[in-house]
Amino acid sequence: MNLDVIANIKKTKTWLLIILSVLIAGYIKFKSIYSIPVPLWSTKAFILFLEILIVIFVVDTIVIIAFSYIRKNVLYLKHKAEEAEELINETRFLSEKLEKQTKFLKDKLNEITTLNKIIYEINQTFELERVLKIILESICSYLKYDRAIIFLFDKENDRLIPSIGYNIEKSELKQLTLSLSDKESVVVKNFVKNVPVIIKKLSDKEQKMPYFKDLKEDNTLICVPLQTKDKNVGLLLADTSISKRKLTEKDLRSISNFAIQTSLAICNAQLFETERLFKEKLQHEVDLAVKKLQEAQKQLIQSEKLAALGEMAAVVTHEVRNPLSTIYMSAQVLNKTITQNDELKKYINYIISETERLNKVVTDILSFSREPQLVLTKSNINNLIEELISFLEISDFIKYDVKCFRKYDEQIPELLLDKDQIKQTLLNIIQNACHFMENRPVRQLVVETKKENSNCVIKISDTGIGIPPENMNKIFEPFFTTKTRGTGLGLSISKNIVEAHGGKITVESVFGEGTTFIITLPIKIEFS
Amino acid sequence: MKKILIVEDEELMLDIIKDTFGKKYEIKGFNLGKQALEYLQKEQPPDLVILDIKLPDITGLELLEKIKKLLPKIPIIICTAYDSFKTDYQIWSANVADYIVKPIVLEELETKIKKIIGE
Repeated sequence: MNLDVIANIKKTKTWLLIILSVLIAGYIKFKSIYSIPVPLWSTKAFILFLEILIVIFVVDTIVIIAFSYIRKNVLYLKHKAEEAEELINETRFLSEKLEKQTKFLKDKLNEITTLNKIIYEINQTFELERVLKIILESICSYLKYDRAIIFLFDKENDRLIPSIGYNIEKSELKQLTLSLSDKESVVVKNFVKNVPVIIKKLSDKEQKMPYFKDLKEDNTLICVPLQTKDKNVGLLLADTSISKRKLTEKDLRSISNFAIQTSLAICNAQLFETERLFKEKLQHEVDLAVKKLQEAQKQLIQSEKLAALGEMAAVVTHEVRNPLSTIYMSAQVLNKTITQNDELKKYINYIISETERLNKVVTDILSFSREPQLVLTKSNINNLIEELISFLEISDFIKYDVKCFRKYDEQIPELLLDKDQIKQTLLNIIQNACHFMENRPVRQLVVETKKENSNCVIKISDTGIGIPPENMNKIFEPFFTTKTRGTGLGLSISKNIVEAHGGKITVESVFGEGTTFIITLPIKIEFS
Repeated sequence: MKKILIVEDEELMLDIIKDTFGKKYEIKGFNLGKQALEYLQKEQPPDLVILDIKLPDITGLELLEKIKKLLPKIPIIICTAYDSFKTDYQIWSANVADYIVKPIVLEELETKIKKIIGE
């Protein structure tokens, strides 16, 4: 009901009561003065009644006024209470808002702290594989993913190569190479678009691929292309396939922040790796060059030494040979004059043989210390060997009781060679063979020649004691000998001579059974 | 008797050769190259010259050229302690009849002498 109307009625009522009270009071006061005739109803009882009525009116009025005052105050208080409630509500709203803001800031702080942690961990190393591993571990542990893969972009072949996986078998990982030419692939499409997305549905082909086939639910795979300002680095895939947590925009936002840092870290690591490889390559080349230099230096020293040795050997040989010649000639003169039965004959023979031996030693040293100089003439190798064997048949073969077999290949054309030096080589080998067949039950020497392609092969086999395996590599080394009387230069010189002819010399031996030397000489010019 | 001129700085060797071949040939020996040249310029030329190519006063090649200039037709046997002479012989062979490497085998030398000038 309208309060104003009530108030007005109450106001009118009050004024009416006041006017009536004044009129009655006036009448009672002034009735005796002006001798106003008193009506019948103006009895004492009536007047008392009126006075009581007046009192009641007055009291009523006072009460009404008092109540109206109280009411007014109550309304005021009520208004204040309402105002207070409003304030409380507002405060509550603000506090809720504050709480929300605080939570948001806390989340952000967490995110930044996590990011910082990851960046810190990434920056601990420049090793690409290690960096990638840290990134994946961090993403999975801080951002609550179950599995993750980093693909690196192979620009040359236009494909994404799975580089490292977290919670993924290596064998599976190997099968995940994605070609950019696969236009159906959702992952590839997103890589090309270069926008991070939560993948709703994979292509049919992808659904059958390892790794992807384990993703049973939608919205559990996130795909984040990795790039820096000017190049595509690769792609990051992360999923919640085990927890089945549905991914949201928030996840996308968080992982995108990582993507920038990840791309930079990968780029840095790749740069570092390239630099490291370059450095290693450079180091390797330097090492190689140093090694070559050292070898060259060694060779130079060696050849200088050899040259010095050659010069020295030439001088020594010359100076030794002159007195040697005198001794030798004297012995020859004596030998001629002394009769066969003379007991001094033996000593003359000693002088002669030992002089010859001494001469061989100096000759060997001289031959060894210089490059063989060849006097090439066209020669029939079979004839050359035959000449040598004829000589040996009246000397060494008798001395050692050796039986010699020849197998000549008549197809061998004439060769260009230094007859004397080749003879010396063959003589060295055959005399060695005879020496090592001494006291053997079977003493057979087989000399064989054969034309093999553009080579002439000479094989000299004996039934001697053979070469112990540990000596096989040493026999061509200078000064290596197992004989009591030998300089150890014979085979070394033979090797030099054969090599000077452009040929090679090899050896096959069964210890306890025998040895075969194989000399291969190139048929340089064929004489028709 | 055929005459052989020997130029050899080793006295003892010269002595042995003189003793060995002295009965068959007239041997004229010199230790120095220049002495030999002087002799060749003044005396009756020999039938054969045996020449050591390493002499103290003059190189063998120089001496060889001088002898050849003086007596172009005279046969010369080179006597050397260098067995590398085999190689050098190729260059010298036009002016040289033969060569022998020390230590000398007397029979070999005798054969070579006989081959060139006879008994």
